[in-house]
Amino acid sequence: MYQYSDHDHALVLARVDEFRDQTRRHLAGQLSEDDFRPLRLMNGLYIQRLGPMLRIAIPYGTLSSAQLRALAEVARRYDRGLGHFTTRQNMQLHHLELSDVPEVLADLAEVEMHAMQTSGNCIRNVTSDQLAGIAPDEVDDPRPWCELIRQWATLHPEFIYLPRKFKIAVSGARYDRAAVQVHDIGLRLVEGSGHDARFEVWVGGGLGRTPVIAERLRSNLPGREVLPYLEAILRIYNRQGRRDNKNKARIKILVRQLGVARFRELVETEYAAMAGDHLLITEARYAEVARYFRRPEVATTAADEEQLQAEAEGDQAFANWLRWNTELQRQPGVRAVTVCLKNGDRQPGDISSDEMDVVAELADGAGQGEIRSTHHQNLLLPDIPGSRLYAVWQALDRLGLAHPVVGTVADTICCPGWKYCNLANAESIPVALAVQEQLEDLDYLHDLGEVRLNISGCMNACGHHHVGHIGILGVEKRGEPWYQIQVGGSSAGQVSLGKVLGPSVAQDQVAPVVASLMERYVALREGEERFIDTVRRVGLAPFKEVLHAAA
Amino acid sequence: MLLLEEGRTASDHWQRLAADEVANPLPAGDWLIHRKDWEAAGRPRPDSGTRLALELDGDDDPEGLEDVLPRLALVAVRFPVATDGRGFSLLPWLRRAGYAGPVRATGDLRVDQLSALRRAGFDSIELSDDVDLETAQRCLQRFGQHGTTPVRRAEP
Repeated sequence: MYQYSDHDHALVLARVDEFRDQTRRHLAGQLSEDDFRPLRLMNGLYIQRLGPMLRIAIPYGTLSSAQLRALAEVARRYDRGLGHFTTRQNMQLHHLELSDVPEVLADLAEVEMHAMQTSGNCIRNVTSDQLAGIAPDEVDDPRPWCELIRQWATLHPEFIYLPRKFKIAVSGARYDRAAVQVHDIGLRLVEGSGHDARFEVWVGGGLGRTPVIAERLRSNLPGREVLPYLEAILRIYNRQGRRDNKNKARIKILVRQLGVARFRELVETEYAAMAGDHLLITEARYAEVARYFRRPEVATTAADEEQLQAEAEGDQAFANWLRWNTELQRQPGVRAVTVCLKNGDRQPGDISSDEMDVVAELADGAGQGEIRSTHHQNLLLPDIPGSRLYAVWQALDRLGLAHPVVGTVADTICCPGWKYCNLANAESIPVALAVQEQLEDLDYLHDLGEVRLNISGCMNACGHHHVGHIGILGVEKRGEPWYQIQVGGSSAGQVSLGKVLGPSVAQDQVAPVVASLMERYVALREGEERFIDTVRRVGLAPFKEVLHAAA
Repeated sequence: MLLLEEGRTASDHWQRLAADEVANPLPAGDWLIHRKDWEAAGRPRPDSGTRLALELDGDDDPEGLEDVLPRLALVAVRFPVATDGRGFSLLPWLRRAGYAGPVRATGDLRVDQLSALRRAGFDSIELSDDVDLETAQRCLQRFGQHGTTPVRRAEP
């Protein structure tokens, strides 16, 4: 894991100091709400229904056990002992006092954490594949590049008053799990390793009100040029992105209005002319960062694996968990364990402070002290040796964190919705819980296999409904919440946007409709075909029938 | 109030000329003129005893100014509203177009933007007179040299 340099430390402390000063001036009436708003947003602080919400950055979804314990502690001390993991791998605290926020940030700074640029019209926290560095299908580890981008983007003086927010995702795998094509900029490490890595650059993707799949801007960018090239894109966007209409200010609108060819011409012209040599990543600079991401090999034996198989044969519940909630790494003998934050009444992505402590302890005791947060609002423990899996499962199971449904329709992505958010038109969490209740039979869920269900409480699409295999969008009709249902979206591998099946349905109809969609899928599927592949093969018509029958 | 990048305040010796006050040729003096007023007056050149500064809007670009940029003693970049960051990206374009002199930020600016303005390469910042100097100086110095770009500066 990356460890802060003296410069990083100084920067984060200076930012804590700055925010303390800004909060003090605001509370003393010297900084108006209008002037304070962009400043607090740039530091991840929203004012929501229940009070201030702080979004804490987890760069590319990687946490140390000490950081997770610190999150547990701030949630305990300043919130209600509860944190929420978001689709962008960050953590949100929803019940803070404004005057405590500088203290929260000071506590986090001690463990190299912050809330910088988790909101506001600036370059947001860089996200990545939750299996970065461990995936069997990876070309090379994207995290050194993510870290270099993080350092470049943090408090970049030119790009803190952009037309709108700006999200960058980086993937290093052949199968994209970082949704790079629905980001403002997506980088795919497609060739080479170490400092010689080469990237595809995708631009202008995004969800929100106007979902757009990104266009490829460059197919073979040398890694050393990533930062100056990003700077050229950002400069063109900063200059030409629309500022007259918030809903048309994202880079996707600019790319669409200009056309990708014209946009590319502008970027390439800027790139050729700009003074960017100081941004080139030298081999030494890369090595300085990359060394933090090397991990010791874990010594395992063939006997460990045999014992694991024997344990699985003797215990069906453990076998289920092993099959659904763990995956093989490219490092032999170890697995990545998903800590499933979906079960029963748990709001998707929620985790208590006590649970965070247990997960941190497992990371230390059985793994290498590292935890990942995932785009699907779960946690992941990498590097667990086969000999430790049974004990890890038992510890997680005691807390209800071993529900063996990862990747199934019960592993729902869901925004916080009405309960917390000012923007939401509808409930989202109760809908997710209703679906989980309706489809609770484990054998059936496992038979259905991989189905991605994404739920957003409003068109801002925090629940990424456009890219769920099934996407549900809360809308308001005559003061009542209604739900639009779409199918065919995907954020992983081959990216696609879902299509709406028909008229929206009432809240109590959502779970039955999802269940009927599943029944229709089972009737239509061929062999081992996943739901999304059936939809792609047969088209929407049979699924539209399901909706019309229900409406 | 005019704040310099090192934190001192300075008196503003530049005299602003309104659209109807721009004479061609310019009389002796230090004149700060908005680009469009200067162009409307027939682009009067600085002469001996005359120093010329142009003010550009944040969304303007240096195109068409290449010939005069090396002869300007100051360029001012106007930020129309505090949250409009286009002026930040205008600065590298000015440098590239051949301007190596001092750049001033002006317009609707806030003390909490001073660090970014300084680090982006602005040499001076015009603030409203009711700003608390001590707060402004504290804000200006934050984050040291982080994110600064090596820019071409005026010859000493």
